[in-house]
Amino acid sequence: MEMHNLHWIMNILQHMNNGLVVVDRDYKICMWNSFMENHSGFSVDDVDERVLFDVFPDLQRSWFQKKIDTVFHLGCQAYTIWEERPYIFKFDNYRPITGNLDFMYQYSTLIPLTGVDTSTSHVAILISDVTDAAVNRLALMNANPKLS
Amino acid sequence: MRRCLPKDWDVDITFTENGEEAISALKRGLGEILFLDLTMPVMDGYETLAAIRFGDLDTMVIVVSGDVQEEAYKRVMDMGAMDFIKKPASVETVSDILDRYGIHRSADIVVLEDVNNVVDDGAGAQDTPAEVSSLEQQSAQFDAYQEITNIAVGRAGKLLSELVGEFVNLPIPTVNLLEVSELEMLINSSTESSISAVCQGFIAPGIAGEALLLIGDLDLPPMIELLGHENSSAVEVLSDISGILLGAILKGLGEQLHLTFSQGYPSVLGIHTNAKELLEISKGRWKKTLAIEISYVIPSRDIHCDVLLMFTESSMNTINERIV
Repeated sequence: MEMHNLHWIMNILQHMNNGLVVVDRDYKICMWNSFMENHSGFSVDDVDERVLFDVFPDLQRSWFQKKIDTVFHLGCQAYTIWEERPYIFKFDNYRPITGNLDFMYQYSTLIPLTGVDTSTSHVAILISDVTDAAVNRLALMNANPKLS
Repeated sequence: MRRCLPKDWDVDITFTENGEEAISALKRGLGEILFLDLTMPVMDGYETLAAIRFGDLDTMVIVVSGDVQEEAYKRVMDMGAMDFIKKPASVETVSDILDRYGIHRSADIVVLEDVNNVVDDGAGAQDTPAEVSSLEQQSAQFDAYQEITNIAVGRAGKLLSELVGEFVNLPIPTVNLLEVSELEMLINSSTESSISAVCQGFIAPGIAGEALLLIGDLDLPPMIELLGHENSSAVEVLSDISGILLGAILKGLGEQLHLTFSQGYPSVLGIHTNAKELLEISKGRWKKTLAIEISYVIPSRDIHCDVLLMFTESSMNTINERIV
């Protein structure tokens, strides 16, 4: 791929409407895109080389570390869904005025990244904002008992 | 397997379809060397090894297996196998092993291959010759689907076994072309009346499908105990298992079809519900599906779960092109 394409890809990753975090085997943050900066309030410089769980003390370490470890160990993707865990990173609702939930509901995908020797050296955490879908589903669930 | 034997090897080869046939071939002195598959109908690889030892039959056994768990390797070596080849086997790996043991010379061998599959023959009417040949073609196609699935399923089993720290019995996948009603029957027959299910979509150019993970109510609590975190729920454990098994199966399938699959998020269809309700949602949107059914069993905990890979009818064209 030509260099300017690579440059574009970096730009897209930086500005896409999904969170992107990459951690190494010590759970230290190696990549942090604009979505993460804007929603967390932490800049790249704030989090670079810091352990994920130190940056987010509210993130339940025993649970999420096990999840990451499985990805390292098996080299398979893993997921979290909002129905089970509403969020990984507690971010305020994207639409502070018209959104009627306090925080962003998230789906996440954990992707193994391989180094030159094909073993998993890093894990990428992709965050999707699914607040709208969650709002609708929750409203539906609340409405059903009222209708019946 | 035939493709993997060295071309210049001057041997008489006997192919058998299950352990019983192999043992009787060995008793007739047809096999100095036995290439043995582990997952087979009638008499599996372990039983065959035990029978060889019990009957004191004089043969060198080389296991060729899609089951690549450490435990499987240890078991067969303990039972007297000479070596272990991971599927897919290649001419190089087979030649290397034959050279290592100095048996790259004329010998009689028996190749034991799993050719089990279920072919849905559609209408039971008299088959005209044209139909027979298309049936044969379909059966050959299903053999090919099964072989590529076998390898993928073995890898997924290995991961599952590493994850739970227990030996996992590897299933023989069954391949079927199913109508809606048949799928319902299959799900009903393979599990208890009350089940939990997670589905996950997957896609690659020209191939689309869904994986369904089904686990009976009795099997769920021990699975949660084995895998769960202190406060994780059934939903979380189910989507974890689904993600891992499907991830490994798709990786294995993708390598053999030379493509990379994308996986969707796991979606919970129902917890403690029945199969009829599960499928109610999707009725009317499809007619036929290529279904591959895989049953994993963790014997030490008596846990049983089913994975059903369902491909759209149109995916079969792409798969067929890529298998050749």
